[in-house]
Amino acid sequence: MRTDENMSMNQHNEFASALYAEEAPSKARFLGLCYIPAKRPFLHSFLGNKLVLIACLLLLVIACCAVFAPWVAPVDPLEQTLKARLRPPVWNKDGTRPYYLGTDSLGRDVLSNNIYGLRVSMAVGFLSVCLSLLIGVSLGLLAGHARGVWETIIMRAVDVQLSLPIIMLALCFMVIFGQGLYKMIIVLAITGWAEYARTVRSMVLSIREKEYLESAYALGLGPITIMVKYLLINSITPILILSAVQVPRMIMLEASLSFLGLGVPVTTPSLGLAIARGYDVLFSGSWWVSIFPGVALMILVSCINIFADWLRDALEPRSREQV
Amino acid sequence: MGLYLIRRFYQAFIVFLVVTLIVFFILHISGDPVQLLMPETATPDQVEAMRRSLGLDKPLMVQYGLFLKNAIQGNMGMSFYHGQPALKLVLERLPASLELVVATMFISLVLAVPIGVIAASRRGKFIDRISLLGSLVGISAPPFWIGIACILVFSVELQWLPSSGRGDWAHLILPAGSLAFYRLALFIRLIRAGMLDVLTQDFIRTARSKGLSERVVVYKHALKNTLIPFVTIAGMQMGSLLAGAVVTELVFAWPGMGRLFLQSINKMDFPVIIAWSLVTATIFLLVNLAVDIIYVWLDPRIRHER
Repeated sequence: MRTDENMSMNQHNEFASALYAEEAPSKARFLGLCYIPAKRPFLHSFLGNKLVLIACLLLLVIACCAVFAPWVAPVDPLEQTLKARLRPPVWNKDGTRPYYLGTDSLGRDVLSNNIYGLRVSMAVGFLSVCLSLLIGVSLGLLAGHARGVWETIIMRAVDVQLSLPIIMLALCFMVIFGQGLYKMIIVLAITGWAEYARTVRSMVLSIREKEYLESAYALGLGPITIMVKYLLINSITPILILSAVQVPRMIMLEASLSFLGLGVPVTTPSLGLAIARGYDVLFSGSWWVSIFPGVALMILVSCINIFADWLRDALEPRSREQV
Repeated sequence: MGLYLIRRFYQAFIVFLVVTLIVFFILHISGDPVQLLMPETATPDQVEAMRRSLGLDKPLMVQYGLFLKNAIQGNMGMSFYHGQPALKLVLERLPASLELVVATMFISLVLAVPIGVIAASRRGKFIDRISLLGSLVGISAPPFWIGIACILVFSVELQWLPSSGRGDWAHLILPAGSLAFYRLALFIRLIRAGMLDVLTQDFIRTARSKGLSERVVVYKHALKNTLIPFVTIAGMQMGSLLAGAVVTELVFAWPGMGRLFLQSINKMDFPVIIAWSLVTATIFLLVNLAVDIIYVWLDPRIRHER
């Protein structure tokens, strides 16, 4: 329990719950999606947590592998070597180099495919979150700042979007637009913008009550300046927390859609597609084709989740107390 | 409270309308249905007559109105492939999907509540750390891959359980278990966080200072208050499971409506795709409505407020 020494437990809780009460409904409070300014140095909690440190190092390694995939991967991931079909991993007696993790039914190297697949996963996760952030934050700012009709329209759209299962929306959109890497990123962005809009709007509504905003209006600043310099800057923390949670969600959604054959085209090295290919040869005993891409995906998503958990705890004292 | 419910009904209805719009859009993007229905040798006159009989010559708004009217009457067109009404096909497979959803929710709730409570009441101890780490892995593993790994271990290697199809309870274990993995992890995290939140509150301190045993404090006072907001999330998860089960149904060849949906996508069987979307959205909305009603009923503060 880390509270300020001159502030008793009780007072601290009252302080926190007063903040929560005015800023968010009970659902959001329960999920810990609210914002309270951080009081403890950032780096300290980072270095003090071994798990987070390991996760971030791993993430760094994966990111480097992804960026330098052409140099890291032992072979071309799409090269088909029909003579070397369904080779087991190298520690098995039938395994041969350079196919360290074996090959799939068309003789493509599993390890290289995984490295390129991680690259695609990270790119899809990052780009789709950036895009949905861009859409959601601008709409949220607009809704909170302009109020009136704009707010009604945008928030109705948010309500509609949030009251439908995300995977169903993604499936329907992929049916409409068809396969494709860029289409997929756009579809994922469309399914993810609503939470940003809701978060930013509720932040804006609470910032509007502050005195510094009144003075900004009194100075005669234009709406764009106010939106960017005052409203956006002050809602950065919840946006960051939400983004850290959204990236793994998007990566998983990409893998699911690709597994179903509705995501990226078959010529793209994707972990979801690789698992699907492995599923086809599962009963013939070639377990490595589907197991390794899944492990790679799980490591990537776990690391991001650990980081996201830490980020939320570091930025929110209330939920930090709980870990 | 009545007003609140009316507002929720109204909201659900709006969402339903939007879903029908999206689905109507799918129908239009899918190309000219006349060309799919008519033989290639049809003359232009015959095509034109067909268009008129299907109402495709009318303005888009009128077409949407017709579509909506048909959809509400339960007429979503004939399946191109099966030659049967699309809605009937989907509803025939609904029980299988519901069976999977209910089993999954049962497994995850029965396990998550005690684990979450124990983890929260022994915070920082070994059992808490293990459950935290386990639930982290759980929310990070793709459910379809968990399914494949389970098949590999329990069907291919050990040959304990069947890997596909629907039948007795043995068929249900692997699909429901692999689908429950993610929800279980999620629920443990939520219950634990909720419990820790509740345990710091004043009424818990009051209960403890009254001299109540720790067991009564944790299970009676804290757990009850944790479960109220949890009901909402569990309910929403149940709704989204119905859509999310699509992938697991594919892996385990489970004869549910999700698998039908995937098969229909491959065959461009648009009436079935539409029927699936509308049925799934409707059930999701109904579950959410039910959850809201339960929530109001459980929490007297809301009941008196509205």
